[in-house]
Amino acid sequence: MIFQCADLERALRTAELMPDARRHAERCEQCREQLFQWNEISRVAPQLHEDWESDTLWPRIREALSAEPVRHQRPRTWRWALAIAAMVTLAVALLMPPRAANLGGPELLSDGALREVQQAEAAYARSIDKLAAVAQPGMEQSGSPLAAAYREKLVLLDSAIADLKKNVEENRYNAYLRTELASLYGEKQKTLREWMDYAKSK
Amino acid sequence: MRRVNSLVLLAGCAALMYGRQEVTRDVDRSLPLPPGRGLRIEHSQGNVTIHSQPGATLKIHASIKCSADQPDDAHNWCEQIKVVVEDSSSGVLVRTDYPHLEGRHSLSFSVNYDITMPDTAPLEVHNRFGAVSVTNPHGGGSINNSNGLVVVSGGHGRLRIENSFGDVQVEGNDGDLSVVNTNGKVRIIDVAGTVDVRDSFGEVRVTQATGRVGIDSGNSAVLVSNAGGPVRVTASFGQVIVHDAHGDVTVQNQNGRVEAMGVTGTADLRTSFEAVRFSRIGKELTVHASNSRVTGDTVGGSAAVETSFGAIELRGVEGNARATAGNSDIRLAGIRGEVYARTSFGGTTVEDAAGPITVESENGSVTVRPGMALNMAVSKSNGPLTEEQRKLEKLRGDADNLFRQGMQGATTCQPISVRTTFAPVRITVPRGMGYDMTARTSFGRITSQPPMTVSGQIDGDSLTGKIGNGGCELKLIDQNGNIDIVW
Repeated sequence: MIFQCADLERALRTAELMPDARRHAERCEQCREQLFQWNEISRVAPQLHEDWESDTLWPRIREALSAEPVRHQRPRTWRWALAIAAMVTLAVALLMPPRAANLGGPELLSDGALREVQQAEAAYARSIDKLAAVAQPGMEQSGSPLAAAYREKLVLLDSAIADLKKNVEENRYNAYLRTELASLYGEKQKTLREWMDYAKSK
Repeated sequence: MRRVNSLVLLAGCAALMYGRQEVTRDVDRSLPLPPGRGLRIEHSQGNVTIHSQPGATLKIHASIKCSADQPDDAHNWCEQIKVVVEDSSSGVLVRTDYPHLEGRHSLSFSVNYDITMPDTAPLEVHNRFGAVSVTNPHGGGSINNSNGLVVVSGGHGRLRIENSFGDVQVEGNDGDLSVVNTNGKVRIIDVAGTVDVRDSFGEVRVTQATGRVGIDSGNSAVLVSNAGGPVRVTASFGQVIVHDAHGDVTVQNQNGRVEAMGVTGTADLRTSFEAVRFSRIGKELTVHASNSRVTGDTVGGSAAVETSFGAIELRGVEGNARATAGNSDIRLAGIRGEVYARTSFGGTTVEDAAGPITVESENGSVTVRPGMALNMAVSKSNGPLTEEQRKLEKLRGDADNLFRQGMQGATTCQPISVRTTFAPVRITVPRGMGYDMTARTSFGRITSQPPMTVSGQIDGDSLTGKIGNGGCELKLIDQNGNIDIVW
């Protein structure tokens, strides 16, 4: 096949065409760059957390938490299972859509929950950093007004994340702060994805 | 979902049973707040919920929650968090004072307020890292929040809300409203007064505002509906939609779609790279766009539309219509006033226009069919037609029939001037109307269905003469294209 740049998009959807695409990319800088970016996205994407599908999940969690009576005397064997469940739930809460947290809800975390949240946060931050490493060079190089707007938004988000992190350090078990931090990470992830979608469409 | 619910319940138990020691301390204060004095709240790390009601008493309930590794630490820390209430001649200040902490520690905390205040007292709230909810504030005021949702309902008086990284929702305010947000959505419903919104990265929706609406938006969508006064929107990369505005509408967008429907005043719509749509504009319409398709109908005044690399389709204009498109088609129909159309590399069609018609085209075909512009006032709205619209619809049908039968007795002179290159020109002239015609083309033929009295010299590429008794100008200039004049 005589492979041309216009065939690249089709090749990305058709595995049989990929060898031709790679051969072509060896001598075509533009396609090589695009192919590299796609490979990077494919590599990074599995590590990214998925947004939770339901806007109403967090209110339901909150309702359930507040409705559940305190039970002090449970068999000891349950405790670890319960603690793990708490960790998972709070990790889910960390991935909730932006702005889900508002009035009410659990206010202070347990030790186990905090550990899990911190791990999830760190993993989330790392995956977003990787996404940023792929998305931001193109954004930095672009002179378009849209790129400038995205850059401005990312600066704003980074500044807010830094500010929030500082507060989180002072109040580490505060669930609201942790939730806000997660939502800012989510916003940053969404912003980077939007830019990549836009860049891909151009 | 059952699994998730079970998980949630288990998690709730685990959180309660394991790890940290949590202490709650409640603080309650009640004090008079006579008319004319305000309430100021300075808070962070928690929610502020305020209910307003008639009376002159201020009731403050603060719920302080602390956690630490040891119960004593949690207890001591909770004791050190102060809810300061200062009463002065100007009003009451409620402030949360947190003790200073140094180094790494295991303490955590949150303070939530539930406050009942006299409804007529002015309110000022400053909060960080928590939501603010205010119900029925009647004394106006300001809310300054960050990292939290702000909800206000049933307000009276002038209200100013600032927020960052949180949504703002206002449901009902009898007074002017100003909202500044950085990265959160703004939802405003039912405001009796003016509305001013500035939001950098969040969607803005304003519904039912009786006064002027001004919105400066950065990169998100703006939706305005049922505005009682003029509407001005500045945006960058989001779509702007304005429906049912009882006043003038001005939209300055940079790279987003613009839609204006049901505007009683003038409409000035600007954007690039995205489409512009409009309908039922009461007065003058101006559209400045680039790389945009412009489509619309039913304009009560004149319409001036300018775009490039996008087609123009304009129907039903009470006044003059001026359409300028680069490299795109123009289609104008139902124009009661004068028509001017200019384009290149695109065809131009003018139908049912009652006034003088001028078309300047390059490399584009031109088709002109004058008329009486009777179809102009019938909008494409989805609802049932009004009585007036029904009459106009009938008249339009009658006129079309007359026109088709060649029986229309046109009595008003309608000058027509068309210039193009490398494309055909086709003009339909009404029976009974006389024209002084000049037609010229090179590398094309000129034909006329109406009988003509030719005057002057006849050569291969130009023709001068009269249709009927003459009297009205018909000027057709082409290069490399046929010219056809038909009934």
